[in-house]
Amino acid sequence: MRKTALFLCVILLAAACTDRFEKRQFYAMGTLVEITHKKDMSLKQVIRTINDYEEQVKSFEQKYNDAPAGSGFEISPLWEVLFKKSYDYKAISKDRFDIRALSLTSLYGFPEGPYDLPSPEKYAAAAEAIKNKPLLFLDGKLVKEDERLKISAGAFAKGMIVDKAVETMKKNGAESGIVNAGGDLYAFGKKNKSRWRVGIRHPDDPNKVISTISVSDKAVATSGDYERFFMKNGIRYSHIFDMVTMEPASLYRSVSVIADNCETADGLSTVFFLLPEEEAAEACKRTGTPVLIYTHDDRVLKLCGWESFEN
Amino acid sequence: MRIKAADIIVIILLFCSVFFIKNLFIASGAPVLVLITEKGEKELSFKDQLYDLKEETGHEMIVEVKDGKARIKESDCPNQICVLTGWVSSCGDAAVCIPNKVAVYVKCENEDDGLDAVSR
Repeated sequence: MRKTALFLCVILLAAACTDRFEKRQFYAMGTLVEITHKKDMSLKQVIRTINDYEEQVKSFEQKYNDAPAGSGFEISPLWEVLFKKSYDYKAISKDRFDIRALSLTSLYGFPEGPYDLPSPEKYAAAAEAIKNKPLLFLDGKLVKEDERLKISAGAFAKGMIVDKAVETMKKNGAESGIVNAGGDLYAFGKKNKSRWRVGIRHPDDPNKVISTISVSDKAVATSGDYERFFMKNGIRYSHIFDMVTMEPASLYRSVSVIADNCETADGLSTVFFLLPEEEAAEACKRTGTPVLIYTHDDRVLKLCGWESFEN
Repeated sequence: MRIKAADIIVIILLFCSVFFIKNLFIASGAPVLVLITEKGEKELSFKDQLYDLKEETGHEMIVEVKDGKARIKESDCPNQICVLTGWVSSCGDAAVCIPNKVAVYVKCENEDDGLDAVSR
């Protein structure tokens, strides 16, 4: 009983010195970004960081996607990193992930809509272009081999920008906070001496969570089929495509990943979304990232130590 | 006193609810007085009155609400922590009786789920 009393005192003491946090929401990277920060901190620079990187990512994508076949591109250091990451994800996913998936998904109207099925001819041509071209660059130069090829770093660039925003916050003296870009988030430091509590949304009910975890200095990201998709003839077309089958990924409802940085969590949540259960269990061991999978038959799989973050 | 597994679960739940409230950000919504027992959570009125929890909890316990504050006035638990906690009135305040699995806390409206962020 004495221990219990002590525990209670600790709780009451903790309550007495509550940190004051504020939430600021704004739109960036095509989503609602929410920054949780100490009240006295200015977010001006943080928002500028986000906007700057978003611009760098977008402008290269646009230049490449609009260019005719045979065009050459200088690769900036930022894009060299992004390409290398995309090749890592391609390897982990056994070619299911490809930075050029947009060549196909854009034919369906992703990311912004209006959505519809593409004509078989257009689809076949884009699929052919991806299959036959390696997209490699030499000496920092990239050549667009086929006019139909389009790239998007959307699957992991958002996470990387979250990491940059966190860096800026820390440079400005922040010891704790959260940057959450539409579900891809990094939570650093602590809140009132305890870890941050993060819920994983239920695919069918925005008010429900399928898991609650406590994290500090960790990133969490989720990929699901319920935010960006359309229905046609009773079939769900989600925005994540498997570049081996060249079809929308349909293994799961949602996949969440915990990692040490948001870029990894973001990228791997997409990669695991494409991997069958056994392969996902394998891959999370290799990457050292806990994974939560919500299946079509409402099973919740916790892999590689996910439970250890639940409390 | 012997503690069973179910007791531990309830104790943990009670603690979690307290943490949940303690961890809320600065609250501005209208506060609600909440009573948690083994049977669940229920809202109490802020109107002056006494709640006898004998039937609800099987324990000799009385919760008093007065002048917009609440306290556990009487309890048959051994070391009376909940009674000694005294009055609770502002957002996040709680009086908790672990042996009897009873807590009174002041919940504030602006935070719905006690989560700092949601990944989706």
